[in-house]
Amino acid sequence: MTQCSVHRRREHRVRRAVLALCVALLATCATACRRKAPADALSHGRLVVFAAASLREVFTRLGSDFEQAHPGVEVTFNFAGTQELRSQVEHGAAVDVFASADARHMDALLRDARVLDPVIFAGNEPVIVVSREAAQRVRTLAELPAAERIVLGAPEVPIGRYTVTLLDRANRTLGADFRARVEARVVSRELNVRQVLAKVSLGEAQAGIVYRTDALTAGASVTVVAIPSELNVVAEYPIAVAAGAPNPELARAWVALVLSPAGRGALAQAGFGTPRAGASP
Amino acid sequence: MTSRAALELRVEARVGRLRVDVELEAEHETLVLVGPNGAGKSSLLGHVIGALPVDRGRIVIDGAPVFDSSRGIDLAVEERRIGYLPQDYALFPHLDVRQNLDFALACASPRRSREERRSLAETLLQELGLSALASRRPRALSGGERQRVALARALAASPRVLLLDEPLAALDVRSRGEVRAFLAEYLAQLGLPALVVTHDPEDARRLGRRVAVLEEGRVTQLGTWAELEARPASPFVEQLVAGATRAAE
Amino acid sequence: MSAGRLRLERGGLAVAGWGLLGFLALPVVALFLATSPSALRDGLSHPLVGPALRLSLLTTSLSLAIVVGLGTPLAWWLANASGRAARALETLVQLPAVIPPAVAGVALLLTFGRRGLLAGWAYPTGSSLAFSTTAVVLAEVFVSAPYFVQAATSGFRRIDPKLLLVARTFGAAPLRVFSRVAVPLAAPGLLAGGAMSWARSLGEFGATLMFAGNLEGRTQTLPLAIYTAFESDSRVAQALSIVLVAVAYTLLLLVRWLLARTAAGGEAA
Repeated sequence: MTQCSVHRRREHRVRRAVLALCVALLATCATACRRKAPADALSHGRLVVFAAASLREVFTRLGSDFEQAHPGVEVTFNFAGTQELRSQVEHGAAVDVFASADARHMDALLRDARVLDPVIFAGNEPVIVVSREAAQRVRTLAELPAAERIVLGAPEVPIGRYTVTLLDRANRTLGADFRARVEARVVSRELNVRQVLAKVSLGEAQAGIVYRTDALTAGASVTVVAIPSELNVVAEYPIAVAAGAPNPELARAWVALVLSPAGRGALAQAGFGTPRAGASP
Repeated sequence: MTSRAALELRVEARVGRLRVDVELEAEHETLVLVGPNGAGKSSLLGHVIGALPVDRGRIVIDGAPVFDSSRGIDLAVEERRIGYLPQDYALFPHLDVRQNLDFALACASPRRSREERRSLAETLLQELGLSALASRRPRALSGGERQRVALARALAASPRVLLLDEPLAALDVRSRGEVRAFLAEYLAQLGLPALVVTHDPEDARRLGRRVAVLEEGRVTQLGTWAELEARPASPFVEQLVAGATRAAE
Repeated sequence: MSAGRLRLERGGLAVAGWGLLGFLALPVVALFLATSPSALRDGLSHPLVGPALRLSLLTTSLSLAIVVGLGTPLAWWLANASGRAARALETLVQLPAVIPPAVAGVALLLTFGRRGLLAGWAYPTGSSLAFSTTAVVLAEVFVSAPYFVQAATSGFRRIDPKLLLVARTFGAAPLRVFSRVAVPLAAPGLLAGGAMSWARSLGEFGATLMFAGNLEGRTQTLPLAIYTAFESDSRVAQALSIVLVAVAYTLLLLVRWLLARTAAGGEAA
């Protein structure tokens, strides 16, 4: 008797669960179906953005804004080193927008007619990051050679090239052997900024040169020392719609968002400098 | 405490579901162990050399215990000095015949010089008629030759007891009779206490003077072949002696 | 079974096997085809090549020596140990093979770095292995040892236990059983494992970059040089990759030949 009622109650519960599941399924289906309904190019499809690794945080945030503003659109990112992304574009990756951390790679793609009308949308400046132990020792660029172990970017990668340029400039004001004194302390030439940062924040190296945006992500584990602006180099970030973009409309909308006041605000918050509107490389 | 027998065994152990409970004594003689499959013959050898654990009992060689549960004695395999010939002889495949012997010589008497070891090996090889095969690898030997190499190698380690597990099972029927005759004679002149495990009635009859019948982990009969024939203590022994008679006809 | 069925099944097996072979070989072929002889010459004369190749050969030899020297006793122990704890440890030894190399590099820094677990215990604070050639070797040992230990363990497991037992009855000490019986009999497994492990450390990139950094002549091995070159000119990177592939292929062929020789030695009369 009791067993039978338990059984019936359980059956009842199962039936309710099945019903709830059906309702949930219907609801998802309804949304999905609504998503699929074609209205215009800006309300469906997939936008593929290739972007330099340093743009990860900002672009991810802008991506969810974009998806909210264009329901039915899915934004997919590929964050990597600029050179790697350029190779992928050259080998015919299906991409709508390419945002580079280095004008050179964009220029090369422009020459091959793989991108259309690049625009500089952000700037990033090198800064010195100093580990906690060496914070008292390195407080200015002039004190950089006092660090025992310095990690720089390899000259082949953009941060390394900017570093070489700014050290050469520093030779003029800080003594002709300044670059040599810094390089005597170099223990590694890293292939990307994150590697430089990781080594300083773990305390393996005492100082390194990275982009301001990267330095900000390290929080309190490193001290940031600015480089005098007359010596510094600003890395320019160009963005462009890919020549064979599967979704050119969406691609243009994305570029517009990045250049909009909202986009600039997000970039500035992450530590990027923003150029005057509409500057071209 | 002292024991007259050259080899005294009292082994209580468990192997899987089988309970082994064996008491045996052997003089400087060959004692044959026969029994049906799964009677615990091969595992008994494992207990004696120290490869399988013994729950209770004593294993005494020439009055010196290598295992005694009541006194907490349990020598390692390496310390027991018991020669063991497994069924497939276990010759080292990467060493030639002479090197196989030298391995045993070098282990058993590390103080001997290389020259001494070499001449000892030559003597043993000659004694067993193996001189011509000294630089062959085991793969290139016949079954009977392998057995003689295994015997020579075991003797090279100066064992106090010899254990042979199915020494003739790996041989083809034609060579078996010849090898059996050689083995019986050689073991007899050696004068070491030896336990030979077999399931073959002909081996049991020829290889040793006395036969111990092992059934389900226990000795059910112990005596000369003639005694077994005269008064078989179990249906197995009846079948065994009948089988030997048939084979002889 | 009909002749047609036999042909069909044999053909099916061949097609499946050759399919994978093609998949593995084609990218290597493409790499060669995409590199012109002049590009290869330029690549070979690239200033990064010489020091990087030397460093790669030096560090991989050292790491192989360490892996074999310490990995063989470990594999021997794992092959003989029974019980759940031993199996758990055996699995643990395999873990470095699944950790992404860059994470492995971070883990090494967290262990041997200035603020690592061993800082102030194994060596005085203020010194560190990071950024040294030693660090390159350690990174290679870390990522490549699992391959050797796995192969060596199964090599030891294939030895007939009777051979080892009989050796012990002669009174052979554990070290003699290990060196004179177990190691020679497991030689094919040890050689194959050594080759795999060596190949893995030759190609090692992520952990080295993270733990040892990238400094020419000191920590810049061939894969790091390739990646560095790739940042400026992908054609140079391709040429360097061909050098790496050629060096690896030559040495692996040598090992195959050695394997065949030991196998033949085992069968010789």
